[in-house]
Amino acid sequence: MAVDAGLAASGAAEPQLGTGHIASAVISTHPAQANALAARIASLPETEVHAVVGGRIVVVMEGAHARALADRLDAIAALPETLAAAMVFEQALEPMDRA
Amino acid sequence: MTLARRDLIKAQAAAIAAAAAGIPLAAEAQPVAGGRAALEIKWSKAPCRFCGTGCGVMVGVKDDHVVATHGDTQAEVNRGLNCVKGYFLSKIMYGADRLTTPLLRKRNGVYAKDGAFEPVSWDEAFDVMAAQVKRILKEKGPTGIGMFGSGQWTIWEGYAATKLMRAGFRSNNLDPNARHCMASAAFAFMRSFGMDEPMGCYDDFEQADAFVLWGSNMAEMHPILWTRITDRRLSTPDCKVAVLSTFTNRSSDLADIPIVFKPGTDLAILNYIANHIITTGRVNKDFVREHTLFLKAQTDIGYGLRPDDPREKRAAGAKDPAATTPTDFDSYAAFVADYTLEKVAALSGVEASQLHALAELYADPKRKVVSLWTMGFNQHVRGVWANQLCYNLHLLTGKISEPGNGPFSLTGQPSACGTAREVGTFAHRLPADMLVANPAHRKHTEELWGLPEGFLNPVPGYHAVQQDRMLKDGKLNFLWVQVNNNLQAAPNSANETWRGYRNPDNFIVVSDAYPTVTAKAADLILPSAMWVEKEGAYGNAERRTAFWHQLVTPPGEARSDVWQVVEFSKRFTTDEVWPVETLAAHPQYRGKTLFQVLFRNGSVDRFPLTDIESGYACDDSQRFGFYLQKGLFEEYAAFGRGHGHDLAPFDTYHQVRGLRWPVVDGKETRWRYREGLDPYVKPGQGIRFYGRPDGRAVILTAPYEPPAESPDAEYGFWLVTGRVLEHWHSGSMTMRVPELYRAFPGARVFMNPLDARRLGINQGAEVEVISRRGLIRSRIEIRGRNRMPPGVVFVPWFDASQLINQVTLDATDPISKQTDFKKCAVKIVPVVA
Repeated sequence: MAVDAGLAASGAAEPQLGTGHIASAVISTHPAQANALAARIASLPETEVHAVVGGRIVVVMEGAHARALADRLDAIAALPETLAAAMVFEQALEPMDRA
Repeated sequence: MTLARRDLIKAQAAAIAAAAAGIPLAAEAQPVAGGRAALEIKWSKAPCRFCGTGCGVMVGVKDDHVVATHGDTQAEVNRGLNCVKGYFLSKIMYGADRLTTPLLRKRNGVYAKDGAFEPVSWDEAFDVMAAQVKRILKEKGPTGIGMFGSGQWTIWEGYAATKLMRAGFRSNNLDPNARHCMASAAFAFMRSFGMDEPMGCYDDFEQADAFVLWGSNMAEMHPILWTRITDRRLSTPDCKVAVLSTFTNRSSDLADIPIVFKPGTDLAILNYIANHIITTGRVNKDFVREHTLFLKAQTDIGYGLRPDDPREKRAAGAKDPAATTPTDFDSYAAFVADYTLEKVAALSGVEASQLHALAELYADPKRKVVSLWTMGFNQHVRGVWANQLCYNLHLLTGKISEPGNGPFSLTGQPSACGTAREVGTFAHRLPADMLVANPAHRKHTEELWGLPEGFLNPVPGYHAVQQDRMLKDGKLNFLWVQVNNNLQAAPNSANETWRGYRNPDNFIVVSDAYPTVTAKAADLILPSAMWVEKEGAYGNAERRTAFWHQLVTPPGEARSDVWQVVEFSKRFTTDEVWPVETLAAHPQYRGKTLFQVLFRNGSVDRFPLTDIESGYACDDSQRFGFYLQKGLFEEYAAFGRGHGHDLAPFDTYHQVRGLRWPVVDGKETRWRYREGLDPYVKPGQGIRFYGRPDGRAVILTAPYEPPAESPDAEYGFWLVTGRVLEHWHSGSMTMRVPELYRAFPGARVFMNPLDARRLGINQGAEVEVISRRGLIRSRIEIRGRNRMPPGVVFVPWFDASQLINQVTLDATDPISKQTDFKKCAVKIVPVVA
């Protein structure tokens, strides 16, 4: 399908997203598997487990870019013991600028 | 002790996550120095702008930029959690290719359909646009112009648009992209209950003993609600989850009863369950006798294709697809008796034991059941029937309108309910469930809008698919598209939508934040403000209305859609666009602008700027000199108050985390139609489906009828389209967040490994997906999280470089006019390098 050439190409543009990101997440699992899963999560780089109660695990992650954090949440979501992985908080240490 | 800033933020992140998880955390006992104020961030609430769940988020702003977000722990919907899309909310506004100025196709300094886009001022943009509208109105009348809106419009954007189109231009050619999303659910609620939207709410998720997902992959599409269901399933002994789909997906992981059925056969499964309830003696006879009536649907109703299609010519019932005739319980029971377990197992390809286990969830009087669905039911050539056949199961057993029991249609867009349905931006609707074809409804609307009696156009306008066909045929010549990416979303787009947009007789305007494929196919692009760059309101799937303030300034010249609509109305006078007879009979309207008649009307403009909450900007209102959003909302709310759609006062919504209508005496309503839970059901009535005059809900007799197109010798695969978690809808926002783009960079063809082996191709092989209408190139995925049965392929539709809707069929449900994106026939041809 032809589109007009008068516009700049769009797609996955790369905005500057700041130089450091912190995020937290809550992971759900079967209670019997919670400790094993928490240990696996804690072994990931720049990832801390702050609490394990029942089938819920509180995780704090750091990364140079938001992408690293998203990739890590995806990795956690893909672990076989994970039933649900939800982000809660995220902050860019430096403001995001319009590119 | 002074914590480093990084540690302080981490402590806060952990504390909020713990609160969201309901976990007491030791870190919470250590107050961070200076508290949250030390971070110099101003926090405000807003609903997420992605899906229909309506999660609450807290938005952190510093120096006019959104720098942080977290799930709102005070929001009942999500209780602090966020899905991965919500996590990237703040970044959707900061894509490098944001549109910041109007762009007009020009050649030699003037508008030209074949020109190249050049930046222009808002004045020039509106001048050219208004001239086109005036020309077309003169040549064709009101049916020559149209507007295509969205379930992502804020409530007042949709309301201002419907007012401008119907009351300004006398055109009903206004439709939302929600037509592609939940028109079948909306029609079905109206047909069965006389009122739109679910009777229950998300609170059902903590009360039910069984959840049945009918073609909805909630684990990926509604992950926060899925977390609530997961919690219920894991914490409640004997709680059961059934997942029905045409392929195995992530939701199947939690399913006690995972069912993969052949496309379209859900209708037969629904009738089998009804038959099972009846033959095992589990009908709630008192409920059925007191609160239901039986109607039989017109059958053989066609597929909403163009009238010259042989399938339409053959369909005996296509002329009046919505017709029904009275019937009774015995006739209904005899009808569904044909749907035996053996027969339906063979038709659907599902094991009989699984079907029986599913039917027992509904039939067992001690089990509370919530049925959930989204596009599997709605994007279906018999979508209205599918919705109604599901209501049948709840009505036969009386499992409805009480905590833990009910049919619940989820929605895909954040205000599909609040704006598209409640405001009434469909081609056949007026606010608060009223219809343009109903003289009493038009009269009531004319009174509230201060219009001459008999002024409103009584003929329903072009629905979404019809708009594209009429553009192509040259009958609709002006279309204003706001907040949606129709060229990517519409079916059979290469043959219908694209040709309509580029038809030389037509002028296409697209308001968007980004240069989508639709924007690039337009003649004029208007840059839109998005989400917290403007004050807004959404209504979610559980009837919850939620507000937010403007928190940051939009970039460049970008303006909200409501500003665009209201400002544009200044370009027209009644003398230019209203009928001569109307002005002769009502001279007081002469010489006024549409802005004066519609918005400076003593109602919309009645609230001063001083009513804006201190500490918040509202650029739109500042420009008009009155509190535009409040005026539009309060005028709109007058339609529903006292009629079962009561909304709270405007200011209340800025204080609370949303309220579920009807809001009566300051109290929201969680379950409708039951005494003690719904203020509209009077003492002694017990249950009353008051949307219908007789107070009864409809049990519909309707058969299984096959899809419009099924695989054959040449086109041997079913094609199913849909979404993946990381992208939402057409990807025009999420594709601009690099993290989401990398997580799932390009659409893939999900295929069964045996099919791939048969075709002699491997994981990642390049293929062409070819239908009778078009083709795309893509790559094969046999290992992904969607596991396909033999003979069925799945392609997500978010990828603008692989427009799968060039392949899909523009068949619709003939009643709701909603497209069936889930069933057409394709062949898969390996690309030889």
